[in-house]
Amino acid sequence: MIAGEVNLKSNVNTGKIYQKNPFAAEVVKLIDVTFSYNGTPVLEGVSLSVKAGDFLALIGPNGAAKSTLLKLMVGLLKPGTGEIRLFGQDVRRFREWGKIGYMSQQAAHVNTAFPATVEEVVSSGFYSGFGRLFDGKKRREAVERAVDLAGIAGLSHRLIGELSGGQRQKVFLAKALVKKPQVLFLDEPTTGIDAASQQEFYRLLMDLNRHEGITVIIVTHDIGAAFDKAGKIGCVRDKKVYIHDNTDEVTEEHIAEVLGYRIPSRQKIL
Amino acid sequence: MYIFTFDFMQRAFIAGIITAVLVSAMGVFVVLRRMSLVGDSLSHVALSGVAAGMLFGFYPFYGALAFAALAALFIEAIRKAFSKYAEVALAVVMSGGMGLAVVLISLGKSFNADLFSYLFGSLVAVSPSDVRVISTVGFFILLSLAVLYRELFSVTFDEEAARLSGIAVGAVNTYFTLLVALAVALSIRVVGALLVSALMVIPAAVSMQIARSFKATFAVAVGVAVLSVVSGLFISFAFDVAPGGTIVLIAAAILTVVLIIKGFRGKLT
Repeated sequence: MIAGEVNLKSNVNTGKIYQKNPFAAEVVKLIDVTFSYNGTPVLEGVSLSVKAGDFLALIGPNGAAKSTLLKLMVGLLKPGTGEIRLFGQDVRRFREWGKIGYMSQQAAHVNTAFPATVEEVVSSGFYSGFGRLFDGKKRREAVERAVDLAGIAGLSHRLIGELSGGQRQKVFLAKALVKKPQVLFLDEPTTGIDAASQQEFYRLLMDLNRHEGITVIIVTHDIGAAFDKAGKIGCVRDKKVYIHDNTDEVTEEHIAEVLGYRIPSRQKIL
Repeated sequence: MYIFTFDFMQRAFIAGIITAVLVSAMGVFVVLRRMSLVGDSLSHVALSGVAAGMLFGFYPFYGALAFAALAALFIEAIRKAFSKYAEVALAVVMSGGMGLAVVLISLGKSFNADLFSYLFGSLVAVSPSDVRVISTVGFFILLSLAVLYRELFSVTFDEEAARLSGIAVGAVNTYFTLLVALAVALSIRVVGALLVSALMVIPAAVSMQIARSFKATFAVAVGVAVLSVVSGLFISFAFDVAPGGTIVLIAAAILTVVLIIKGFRGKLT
Protein backbone atom coordinates (compact mmCIF):
# COMPACT_ATOMS: atom_id res chain seq x y z
CA MET A 1 0.00 0.00 0.00
CA ILE A 2 2.76 2.40 0.98
CA ALA A 3 4.66 1.58 -2.18
CA GLY A 4 1.58 2.60 -4.15
CA GLU A 5 1.47 5.90 -2.35
CA VAL A 6 5.13 6.66 -3.07
CA ASN A 7 4.59 5.73 -6.65
CA LEU A 8 1.62 8.05 -6.87
CA LYS A 9 3.60 10.95 -5.46
CA SER A 10 6.48 10.35 -7.85
CA ASN A 11 3.99 10.40 -10.69
CA VAL A 12 2.77 13.80 -9.66
CA ASN A 13 6.29 15.11 -9.10
CA THR A 14 7.76 13.93 -12.37
CA GLY A 15 4.63 14.97 -14.20
CA LYS A 16 4.43 11.57 -15.83
CA ILE A 17 1.46 11.47 -18.14
CA TYR A 18 -0.32 8.30 -19.12
CA GLN A 19 -0.10 8.04 -22.90
CA LYS A 20 -3.31 7.53 -24.80
CA ASN A 21 -3.30 4.04 -26.20
CA PRO A 22 -5.26 3.57 -29.42
CA PHE A 23 -5.72 -0.10 -28.55
CA ALA A 24 -6.86 0.63 -25.00
CA ALA A 25 -9.48 -1.69 -23.57
CA GLU A 26 -13.11 -0.68 -23.70
CA VAL A 27 -14.38 0.42 -20.31
CA VAL A 28 -17.97 1.08 -21.30
CA LYS A 29 -19.77 -0.05 -24.41
CA LEU A 30 -23.38 0.59 -25.34
CA ILE A 31 -24.89 -1.23 -28.31
CA ASP A 32 -28.20 0.02 -29.68
CA VAL A 33 -29.57 0.98 -26.29
CA THR A 34 -33.11 2.25 -25.84
CA PHE A 35 -34.60 3.59 -22.64
CA SER A 36 -38.08 4.91 -21.80
CA TYR A 37 -39.63 6.62 -18.79
CA ASN A 38 -43.25 5.54 -18.40
CA GLY A 39 -43.55 4.66 -22.07
CA THR A 40 -41.89 7.84 -23.35
CA PRO A 41 -38.58 7.02 -25.04
CA VAL A 42 -35.73 9.27 -23.85
CA LEU A 43 -32.84 7.41 -25.53
CA GLU A 44 -33.11 5.53 -28.82
CA GLY A 45 -30.57 3.39 -30.61
CA VAL A 46 -27.62 4.72 -28.63
CA SER A 47 -24.28 3.07 -29.34
CA LEU A 48 -21.03 4.33 -27.94
CA SER A 49 -17.73 3.19 -26.57
CA VAL A 50 -15.48 4.65 -23.90
CA LYS A 51 -11.89 3.45 -23.75
CA ALA A 52 -9.50 3.24 -20.82
CA GLY A 53 -7.88 6.63 -20.27
CA ASP A 54 -10.67 8.63 -21.91
CA PHE A 55 -12.09 11.79 -20.38
CA LEU A 56 -15.65 11.98 -21.67
CA ALA A 57 -17.97 14.86 -20.81
CA LEU A 58 -21.67 14.25 -21.45
CA ILE A 59 -23.39 17.53 -22.08
CA GLY A 60 -26.84 18.49 -23.26
CA PRO A 61 -29.94 20.51 -22.48
CA ASN A 62 -31.93 19.93 -19.29
CA GLY A 63 -33.97 16.76 -19.41
CA ALA A 64 -31.90 15.29 -22.25
CA ALA A 65 -31.32 12.05 -20.31
CA LYS A 66 -27.63 12.72 -19.53
CA SER A 67 -27.93 11.35 -16.01
CA THR A 68 -30.09 8.51 -17.30
CA LEU A 69 -27.30 7.58 -19.69
CA LEU A 70 -24.77 7.57 -16.84
CA LYS A 71 -27.03 5.43 -14.66
CA LEU A 72 -27.51 2.98 -17.51
CA MET A 73 -23.74 2.68 -17.88
CA VAL A 74 -23.29 1.58 -14.25
CA GLY A 75 -26.39 -0.58 -14.11
CA LEU A 76 -28.50 1.58 -11.77
CA LEU A 77 -31.12 1.60 -14.55
CA LYS A 78 -31.96 -1.26 -16.87
CA PRO A 79 -32.19 -0.55 -20.61
CA GLY A 80 -35.42 -1.31 -22.49
CA THR A 81 -33.50 -2.93 -25.33
CA GLY A 82 -29.84 -3.16 -26.31
CA GLU A 83 -26.70 -4.23 -24.57
CA ILE A 84 -24.46 -2.48 -22.05
CA ARG A 85 -21.01 -3.77 -21.23
CA LEU A 86 -18.79 -2.62 -18.38
CA PHE A 87 -15.17 -3.80 -18.62
CA GLY A 88 -16.32 -6.31 -21.22
CA GLN A 89 -19.00 -7.85 -19.00
CA ASP A 90 -22.74 -7.54 -19.26
CA VAL A 91 -23.51 -4.77 -16.75
CA ARG A 92 -26.28 -6.87 -15.18
CA ARG A 93 -23.69 -9.41 -14.11
CA PHE A 94 -20.94 -6.93 -13.25
CA ARG A 95 -19.69 -7.40 -9.67
CA GLU A 96 -16.17 -5.94 -9.66
CA TRP A 97 -17.26 -2.90 -7.68
CA GLY A 98 -13.69 -1.93 -6.82
CA LYS A 99 -13.08 -0.97 -10.43
CA ILE A 100 -15.68 1.78 -10.54
CA GLY A 101 -16.04 4.98 -8.55
CA TYR A 102 -19.40 6.74 -8.65
CA MET A 103 -20.25 10.23 -7.51
CA SER A 104 -24.01 10.71 -7.44
CA GLN A 105 -25.94 13.97 -7.47
CA GLN A 106 -26.27 13.43 -3.73
CA ALA A 107 -23.11 15.51 -3.39
CA ALA A 108 -25.12 18.63 -4.15
CA HIS A 109 -28.15 17.62 -2.08
CA VAL A 110 -26.52 16.11 0.98
CA ASN A 111 -28.30 16.63 4.28
CA THR A 112 -25.97 19.10 6.02
CA ALA A 113 -27.28 17.94 9.39
CA PHE A 114 -25.84 14.46 8.77
CA PRO A 115 -23.52 14.12 11.75
CA ALA A 116 -20.54 12.46 10.07
CA THR A 117 -16.92 13.53 9.70
CA VAL A 118 -15.08 13.71 6.40
CA GLU A 119 -13.10 10.64 7.39
CA GLU A 120 -16.26 8.63 8.17
CA VAL A 121 -17.85 9.58 4.86
CA VAL A 122 -14.77 8.78 2.75
CA SER A 123 -14.24 5.54 4.67
CA SER A 124 -17.78 4.43 3.84
CA GLY A 125 -16.72 4.24 0.18
CA PHE A 126 -14.33 1.46 1.10
CA TYR A 127 -16.77 -1.41 1.27
CA SER A 128 -15.22 -4.81 1.61
CA GLY A 129 -18.16 -7.07 2.40
CA PHE A 130 -17.29 -9.75 4.92
CA GLY A 131 -13.60 -8.85 4.82
CA ARG A 132 -14.33 -5.77 6.91
CA LEU A 133 -13.18 -7.23 10.21
CA PHE A 134 -9.61 -7.49 9.00
CA ASP A 135 -9.26 -4.45 6.80
CA GLY A 136 -8.69 -1.70 9.38
CA LYS A 137 -5.17 -0.77 8.33
CA LYS A 138 -5.88 -1.09 4.61
CA ARG A 139 -8.94 1.06 5.02
CA ARG A 140 -7.08 3.80 6.89
CA GLU A 141 -4.36 3.90 4.25
CA ALA A 142 -6.89 3.99 1.43
CA VAL A 143 -8.77 6.85 3.11
CA GLU A 144 -5.55 8.79 3.67
CA ARG A 145 -4.56 8.40 0.04
CA ALA A 146 -8.02 9.40 -1.22
CA VAL A 147 -8.27 12.57 0.87
CA ASP A 148 -4.74 13.45 -0.29
CA LEU A 149 -5.68 12.98 -3.93
CA ALA A 150 -8.82 15.07 -3.53
CA GLY A 151 -6.90 17.80 -1.74
CA ILE A 152 -8.81 17.70 1.55
CA ALA A 153 -6.21 16.08 3.79
CA GLY A 154 -6.56 18.75 6.46
CA LEU A 155 -10.31 18.34 6.83
CA SER A 156 -10.55 14.71 7.98
CA HIS A 157 -12.09 15.41 11.36
CA ARG A 158 -14.47 18.16 10.32
CA LEU A 159 -18.22 17.50 10.09
CA ILE A 160 -19.40 17.52 6.49
CA GLY A 161 -22.12 20.01 7.39
CA GLU A 162 -19.46 22.57 8.26
CA LEU A 163 -17.73 22.49 4.87
CA SER A 164 -18.24 24.77 1.89
CA GLY A 165 -19.99 23.38 -1.17
CA GLY A 166 -16.69 23.08 -3.02
CA GLN A 167 -15.03 21.20 -0.15
CA ARG A 168 -18.01 18.88 0.12
CA GLN A 169 -17.74 17.94 -3.57
CA LYS A 170 -14.15 16.93 -2.92
CA VAL A 171 -15.27 14.74 -0.02
CA PHE A 172 -17.58 12.89 -2.39
CA LEU A 173 -14.78 12.65 -4.92
CA ALA A 174 -12.48 11.17 -2.27
CA LYS A 175 -15.24 8.71 -1.33
CA ALA A 176 -15.45 7.65 -4.98
CA LEU A 177 -11.65 7.34 -5.18
CA VAL A 178 -11.09 5.35 -2.01
CA LYS A 179 -11.18 1.94 -3.71
CA LYS A 180 -8.64 3.05 -6.36
CA PRO A 181 -11.15 2.73 -9.20
CA GLN A 182 -10.14 2.50 -12.85
CA VAL A 183 -13.07 4.61 -13.95
CA LEU A 184 -14.92 7.49 -12.31
CA PHE A 185 -18.58 8.21 -13.10
CA LEU A 186 -19.68 11.68 -12.00
CA ASP A 187 -23.25 12.96 -12.15
CA GLU A 188 -23.28 16.77 -12.30
CA PRO A 189 -20.65 17.05 -9.58
CA THR A 190 -20.28 20.83 -9.68
CA THR A 191 -23.93 21.79 -9.25
CA GLY A 192 -24.38 24.68 -6.86
CA ILE A 193 -20.76 25.56 -6.18
CA ASP A 194 -18.94 28.76 -7.07
CA ALA A 195 -17.01 29.21 -10.32
CA ALA A 196 -13.54 29.09 -8.76
CA SER A 197 -14.31 25.81 -6.94
CA GLN A 198 -15.73 24.40 -10.16
CA GLN A 199 -12.52 25.24 -12.01
CA GLU A 200 -10.46 23.61 -9.27
CA PHE A 201 -12.63 20.53 -9.32
CA TYR A 202 -12.22 20.08 -13.07
CA ARG A 203 -8.47 20.57 -12.76
CA LEU A 204 -8.45 17.83 -10.14
CA LEU A 205 -10.32 15.49 -12.47
CA MET A 206 -7.91 16.26 -15.28
CA ASP A 207 -4.96 15.45 -13.02
CA LEU A 208 -6.55 12.14 -12.02
CA ASN A 209 -7.13 11.34 -15.66
CA ARG A 210 -3.65 12.26 -16.86
CA HIS A 211 -1.46 11.27 -13.92
CA GLU A 212 -3.37 8.36 -12.43
CA GLY A 213 -4.73 7.05 -15.71
CA ILE A 214 -8.29 7.01 -14.37
CA THR A 215 -10.99 7.02 -17.04
CA VAL A 216 -13.43 9.86 -16.37
CA ILE A 217 -17.06 10.00 -17.50
CA ILE A 218 -18.81 13.12 -16.31
CA VAL A 219 -22.31 14.51 -16.78
CA THR A 220 -22.26 18.29 -16.74
CA HIS A 221 -24.19 21.30 -17.94
CA ASP A 222 -21.03 23.39 -18.03
CA ILE A 223 -20.00 23.42 -21.71
CA GLY A 224 -17.01 25.69 -21.10
CA ALA A 225 -15.42 23.40 -18.53
CA ALA A 226 -16.18 20.29 -20.58
CA PHE A 227 -14.60 21.91 -23.59
CA ASP A 228 -11.51 22.96 -21.63
CA LYS A 229 -10.77 19.69 -19.91
CA ALA A 230 -12.41 16.74 -21.63
CA GLY A 231 -10.77 14.76 -24.42
CA LYS A 232 -14.14 13.66 -25.76
CA ILE A 233 -17.45 15.41 -25.71
CA GLY A 234 -20.73 13.52 -25.87
CA CYS A 235 -23.71 15.65 -26.84
CA VAL A 236 -26.96 14.13 -25.62
CA ARG A 237 -29.82 15.50 -27.65
CA ASP A 238 -33.04 14.27 -29.27
CA LYS A 239 -32.67 10.78 -27.77
CA LYS A 240 -29.26 10.36 -29.40
CA VAL A 241 -25.67 10.73 -28.27
CA TYR A 242 -23.10 12.34 -30.59
CA ILE A 243 -19.51 11.83 -29.51
CA HIS A 244 -16.80 14.15 -30.79
CA ASP A 245 -13.08 14.08 -30.17
CA ASN A 246 -12.26 17.39 -28.57
CA THR A 247 -9.80 18.54 -31.26
CA ASP A 248 -9.01 21.95 -32.65
CA GLU A 249 -11.62 21.56 -35.34
CA VAL A 250 -14.40 21.32 -32.79
CA THR A 251 -15.23 24.70 -31.32
CA GLU A 252 -17.27 25.55 -28.29
CA GLU A 253 -19.72 27.28 -30.64
CA HIS A 254 -20.00 24.17 -32.76
CA ILE A 255 -20.88 22.06 -29.75
CA ALA A 256 -23.39 24.61 -28.55
CA GLU A 257 -24.96 24.60 -31.98
CA VAL A 258 -25.28 20.82 -31.97
CA LEU A 259 -27.03 21.12 -28.64
CA GLY A 260 -29.33 23.85 -29.87
CA TYR A 261 -28.10 26.45 -27.41
CA ARG A 262 -28.30 30.07 -28.50
CA ILE A 263 -24.91 31.58 -27.87
CA PRO A 264 -23.53 35.07 -28.27
CA SER A 265 -21.90 34.20 -31.56
CA ARG A 266 -18.74 35.87 -32.73
CA GLN A 267 -19.91 35.39 -36.28
CA LYS A 268 -22.73 37.86 -35.77
CA ILE A 269 -20.25 40.57 -34.92
CA LEU A 270 -18.09 39.75 -37.90
CA MET B 1 -31.27 2.42 47.43
CA TYR B 2 -34.39 1.09 48.98
CA ILE B 3 -36.05 1.27 45.57
CA PHE B 4 -34.01 -1.77 44.46
CA THR B 5 -35.32 -3.94 47.24
CA PHE B 6 -38.40 -4.43 45.07
CA ASP B 7 -38.03 -7.20 42.53
CA PHE B 8 -40.31 -5.45 40.10
CA MET B 9 -38.16 -2.30 40.22
CA GLN B 10 -35.02 -4.31 39.48
CA ARG B 11 -36.78 -5.80 36.47
CA ALA B 12 -38.07 -2.40 35.36
CA PHE B 13 -34.53 -0.99 35.47
CA ILE B 14 -33.01 -3.88 33.53
CA ALA B 15 -35.75 -3.79 30.90
CA GLY B 16 -35.67 0.01 30.80
CA ILE B 17 -31.92 0.33 30.27
CA ILE B 18 -31.83 -2.33 27.55
CA THR B 19 -34.78 -0.64 25.87
CA ALA B 20 -33.08 2.75 26.07
CA VAL B 21 -29.83 1.54 24.49
CA LEU B 22 -31.65 -0.32 21.77
CA VAL B 23 -34.24 2.22 20.78
CA SER B 24 -31.90 5.20 20.82
CA ALA B 25 -29.20 3.44 18.78
CA MET B 26 -31.83 2.50 16.19
CA GLY B 27 -33.18 6.03 16.46
CA VAL B 28 -30.02 7.61 15.00
CA PHE B 29 -30.54 5.70 11.74
CA VAL B 30 -34.32 6.12 11.90
CA VAL B 31 -34.07 9.91 12.14
CA LEU B 32 -31.38 10.23 9.44
CA ARG B 33 -33.39 8.04 7.08
CA ARG B 34 -36.48 10.19 7.76
CA MET B 35 -38.31 7.14 9.06
CA SER B 36 -39.50 8.66 12.35
CA LEU B 37 -43.10 7.94 11.42
CA VAL B 38 -42.27 4.29 10.76
CA GLY B 39 -41.55 3.75 14.46
CA ASP B 40 -44.82 5.37 15.35
CA SER B 41 -46.83 3.30 12.87
CA LEU B 42 -45.21 0.07 13.98
CA SER B 43 -45.90 0.76 17.63
CA HIS B 44 -49.63 1.02 16.89
CA VAL B 45 -49.52 -2.34 15.15
CA ALA B 46 -47.55 -3.82 18.05
CA LEU B 47 -50.38 -2.72 20.30
CA SER B 48 -52.87 -4.69 18.25
CA GLY B 49 -50.53 -7.69 18.64
CA VAL B 50 -50.72 -7.25 22.41
CA ALA B 51 -54.51 -7.06 22.27
CA ALA B 52 -54.64 -10.20 20.10
CA GLY B 53 -52.42 -12.01 22.59
CA MET B 54 -54.69 -11.07 25.47
CA LEU B 55 -57.83 -11.99 23.57
CA PHE B 56 -56.63 -15.35 22.31
CA GLY B 57 -54.61 -16.23 25.37
CA PHE B 58 -51.00 -16.23 24.16
CA TYR B 59 -48.10 -14.23 25.54
CA PRO B 60 -48.87 -10.61 24.46
CA PHE B 61 -45.20 -9.82 23.86
CA TYR B 62 -44.99 -12.46 21.14
CA GLY B 63 -48.10 -10.96 19.60
CA ALA B 64 -46.46 -7.52 19.59
CA LEU B 65 -43.23 -8.84 18.01
CA ALA B 66 -45.02 -10.86 15.34
CA PHE B 67 -47.55 -8.17 14.38
CA ALA B 68 -44.88 -5.44 14.22
CA ALA B 69 -42.57 -7.62 12.11
CA LEU B 70 -45.37 -8.45 9.67
CA ALA B 71 -46.31 -4.77 9.46
CA ALA B 72 -42.67 -3.89 8.72
CA LEU B 73 -42.61 -6.26 5.76
CA PHE B 74 -45.96 -4.89 4.62
CA ILE B 75 -44.66 -1.30 4.81
CA GLU B 76 -41.63 -2.21 2.69
CA ALA B 77 -43.90 -3.90 0.14
CA ILE B 78 -46.37 -1.05 -0.26
CA ARG B 79 -43.59 1.51 -0.13
CA LYS B 80 -42.45 0.09 -3.45
CA ALA B 81 -45.97 0.36 -4.86
CA PHE B 82 -46.31 3.99 -3.71
CA SER B 83 -42.68 4.95 -4.15
CA LYS B 84 -43.50 8.65 -4.59
CA TYR B 85 -45.88 8.73 -1.62
CA ALA B 86 -44.09 6.70 1.01
CA GLU B 87 -46.18 8.26 3.78
CA VAL B 88 -49.30 6.63 2.33
CA ALA B 89 -47.85 3.26 3.35
CA LEU B 90 -47.28 4.52 6.88
CA ALA B 91 -50.73 6.07 7.22
CA VAL B 92 -52.34 2.82 6.07
CA VAL B 93 -50.34 0.72 8.51
CA MET B 94 -50.77 3.13 11.41
CA SER B 95 -54.53 3.54 11.14
CA GLY B 96 -54.96 -0.14 10.22
CA GLY B 97 -52.99 -1.17 13.30
CA MET B 98 -54.93 1.13 15.59
CA GLY B 99 -58.23 0.02 14.10
CA LEU B 100 -57.37 -3.61 14.65
CA ALA B 101 -56.24 -2.87 18.20
CA VAL B 102 -59.51 -1.08 19.03
CA VAL B 103 -61.64 -3.90 17.61
CA LEU B 104 -59.66 -6.56 19.51
CA ILE B 105 -59.85 -4.51 22.72
CA SER B 106 -63.62 -4.10 22.44
CA LEU B 107 -63.99 -7.84 21.84
CA GLY B 108 -62.28 -8.64 25.13
CA LYS B 109 -63.84 -6.09 27.49
CA SER B 110 -62.20 -7.38 30.61
CA PHE B 111 -58.53 -6.58 30.00
CA ASN B 112 -58.72 -2.81 29.63
CA ALA B 113 -56.63 -2.00 32.71
CA ASP B 114 -53.81 -4.30 31.67
CA LEU B 115 -53.85 -2.86 28.17
CA PHE B 116 -53.45 0.62 29.63
CA SER B 117 -50.00 -0.44 30.82
CA TYR B 118 -49.03 -1.30 27.24
CA LEU B 119 -50.25 2.08 26.02
CA PHE B 120 -48.28 4.21 28.46
CA GLY B 121 -45.72 1.84 29.97
CA SER B 122 -45.65 0.36 33.43
CA LEU B 123 -43.20 -0.39 36.23
CA VAL B 124 -45.01 -3.11 38.10
CA ALA B 125 -46.05 -4.98 34.97
CA VAL B 126 -42.55 -6.03 33.80
CA SER B 127 -42.52 -9.79 34.43
CA PRO B 128 -39.44 -12.05 34.60
CA SER B 129 -40.34 -13.50 31.20
CA ASP B 130 -40.60 -9.94 29.80
CA VAL B 131 -37.04 -9.32 30.95
CA ARG B 132 -35.90 -12.57 29.31
CA VAL B 133 -37.51 -11.67 25.96
CA ILE B 134 -36.25 -8.08 26.09
CA SER B 135 -32.65 -9.13 26.76
CA THR B 136 -32.60 -11.95 24.20
CA VAL B 137 -34.20 -10.06 21.33
CA GLY B 138 -32.38 -6.89 22.40
CA PHE B 139 -28.99 -8.60 22.16
CA PHE B 140 -29.90 -9.89 18.71
CA ILE B 141 -30.87 -6.38 17.53
CA LEU B 142 -27.67 -4.77 18.87
CA LEU B 143 -25.56 -7.49 17.27
CA SER B 144 -27.29 -6.90 13.94
CA LEU B 145 -26.65 -3.16 14.23
CA ALA B 146 -22.97 -3.73 14.96
CA VAL B 147 -22.51 -6.18 12.10
CA LEU B 148 -24.44 -4.08 9.57
CA TYR B 149 -23.07 -0.73 10.73
CA ARG B 150 -21.14 -0.02 7.52
CA GLU B 151 -23.97 -1.08 5.23
CA LEU B 152 -26.47 1.01 7.14
CA PHE B 153 -24.18 4.04 7.11
CA SER B 154 -23.60 3.79 3.35
CA VAL B 155 -27.24 3.21 2.49
CA THR B 156 -28.36 6.04 4.77
CA PHE B 157 -25.79 8.45 3.40
CA ASP B 158 -25.98 7.79 -0.34
CA GLU B 159 -28.14 4.94 -1.55
CA GLU B 160 -27.02 4.95 -5.20
CA ALA B 161 -23.34 4.93 -4.33
CA ALA B 162 -24.00 2.17 -1.78
CA ARG B 163 -25.59 0.04 -4.47
CA LEU B 164 -22.53 0.53 -6.67
CA SER B 165 -20.17 -0.51 -3.92
CA GLY B 166 -21.85 -3.91 -3.93
CA ILE B 167 -24.31 -3.52 -1.05
CA ALA B 168 -27.65 -5.32 -1.43
CA VAL B 169 -29.58 -2.13 -0.68
CA GLY B 170 -33.06 -3.67 -0.86
CA ALA B 171 -32.21 -6.43 1.59
CA VAL B 172 -30.51 -4.01 3.99
CA ASN B 173 -33.56 -1.70 3.95
CA THR B 174 -36.03 -4.52 4.61
CA TYR B 175 -33.89 -5.98 7.38
CA PHE B 176 -33.52 -2.57 9.00
CA THR B 177 -37.29 -1.98 9.01
CA LEU B 178 -37.67 -5.41 10.58
CA LEU B 179 -35.19 -4.44 13.32
CA VAL B 180 -37.14 -1.24 13.96
CA ALA B 181 -40.29 -3.32 14.35
CA LEU B 182 -38.64 -5.62 16.91
CA ALA B 183 -37.16 -2.71 18.86
CA VAL B 184 -40.50 -0.91 18.96
CA ALA B 185 -42.34 -4.04 20.10
CA LEU B 186 -39.80 -4.59 22.88
CA SER B 187 -40.00 -1.09 24.21
CA ILE B 188 -43.78 -0.83 24.59
CA ARG B 189 -43.44 -2.74 27.87
CA VAL B 190 -41.58 0.08 29.64
CA VAL B 191 -42.38 3.26 27.70
CA GLY B 192 -45.70 2.28 26.13
CA ALA B 193 -46.88 2.06 22.55
CA LEU B 194 -47.85 5.71 22.26
CA LEU B 195 -44.48 7.00 23.46
CA VAL B 196 -41.97 4.64 21.85
CA SER B 197 -41.23 6.87 18.90
CA ALA B 198 -40.39 9.76 21.25
CA LEU B 199 -37.66 7.69 22.89
CA MET B 200 -36.45 6.79 19.42
CA VAL B 201 -36.39 10.31 18.03
CA ILE B 202 -35.57 12.71 20.89
CA PRO B 203 -32.16 11.29 21.95
CA ALA B 204 -31.08 11.23 18.29
CA ALA B 205 -32.24 14.82 17.90
CA VAL B 206 -30.23 15.85 20.98
CA SER B 207 -27.07 14.11 19.81
CA MET B 208 -27.28 15.57 16.30
CA GLN B 209 -27.07 18.99 17.93
CA ILE B 210 -23.85 18.31 19.80
CA ALA B 211 -21.96 15.24 18.53
CA ARG B 212 -18.80 15.78 16.50
CA SER B 213 -18.81 12.49 14.58
CA PHE B 214 -21.14 9.68 13.60
CA LYS B 215 -19.84 7.35 16.28
CA ALA B 216 -20.19 10.10 18.88
CA THR B 217 -23.78 10.59 17.71
CA PHE B 218 -24.54 7.04 18.83
CA ALA B 219 -22.77 7.48 22.14
CA VAL B 220 -24.60 10.71 22.98
CA ALA B 221 -28.00 9.36 21.88
CA VAL B 222 -27.58 6.22 24.00
CA GLY B 223 -26.38 8.35 26.93
CA VAL B 224 -29.37 10.68 26.75
CA ALA B 225 -31.80 7.76 26.47
CA VAL B 226 -30.33 5.85 29.41
CA LEU B 227 -30.26 9.02 31.52
CA SER B 228 -33.90 9.73 30.65
CA VAL B 229 -35.03 6.18 31.40
CA VAL B 230 -33.15 5.83 34.69
CA SER B 231 -34.21 9.21 36.07
CA GLY B 232 -37.71 8.67 34.67
CA LEU B 233 -38.05 5.38 36.51
CA PHE B 234 -36.92 6.95 39.80
CA ILE B 235 -39.41 9.80 39.43
CA SER B 236 -42.14 7.45 38.30
CA PHE B 237 -41.58 5.31 41.40
CA ALA B 238 -41.40 8.27 43.76
CA PHE B 239 -44.51 10.07 42.51
CA ASP B 240 -46.45 7.06 41.24
CA VAL B 241 -46.88 8.38 37.70
CA ALA B 242 -46.69 6.45 34.40
CA PRO B 243 -43.01 5.81 33.53
CA GLY B 244 -43.43 6.28 29.78
CA GLY B 245 -44.64 9.85 30.09
CA THR B 246 -42.01 10.76 32.68
CA ILE B 247 -39.19 9.34 30.52
CA VAL B 248 -40.33 11.22 27.44
CA LEU B 249 -40.75 14.50 29.35
CA ILE B 250 -37.20 14.23 30.71
CA ALA B 251 -35.79 13.52 27.24
CA ALA B 252 -37.74 16.48 25.86
CA ALA B 253 -36.40 18.68 28.69
CA ILE B 254 -32.83 17.66 27.82
CA LEU B 255 -33.47 18.56 24.17
CA THR B 256 -34.88 21.95 25.20
CA VAL B 257 -31.88 22.73 27.40
CA VAL B 258 -29.44 21.73 24.64
CA LEU B 259 -31.27 23.89 22.10
CA ILE B 260 -31.30 26.87 24.46
CA ILE B 261 -27.58 26.53 25.26
CA LYS B 262 -26.79 26.16 21.56
CA GLY B 263 -28.90 29.18 20.66
CA PHE B 264 -27.25 31.19 23.43
CA ARG B 265 -23.77 30.20 22.24
CA GLY B 266 -24.71 31.00 18.65
CA LYS B 267 -25.58 34.54 19.75
CA LEU B 268 -22.29 34.94 21.59
CA THR B 269 -20.07 33.90 18.69
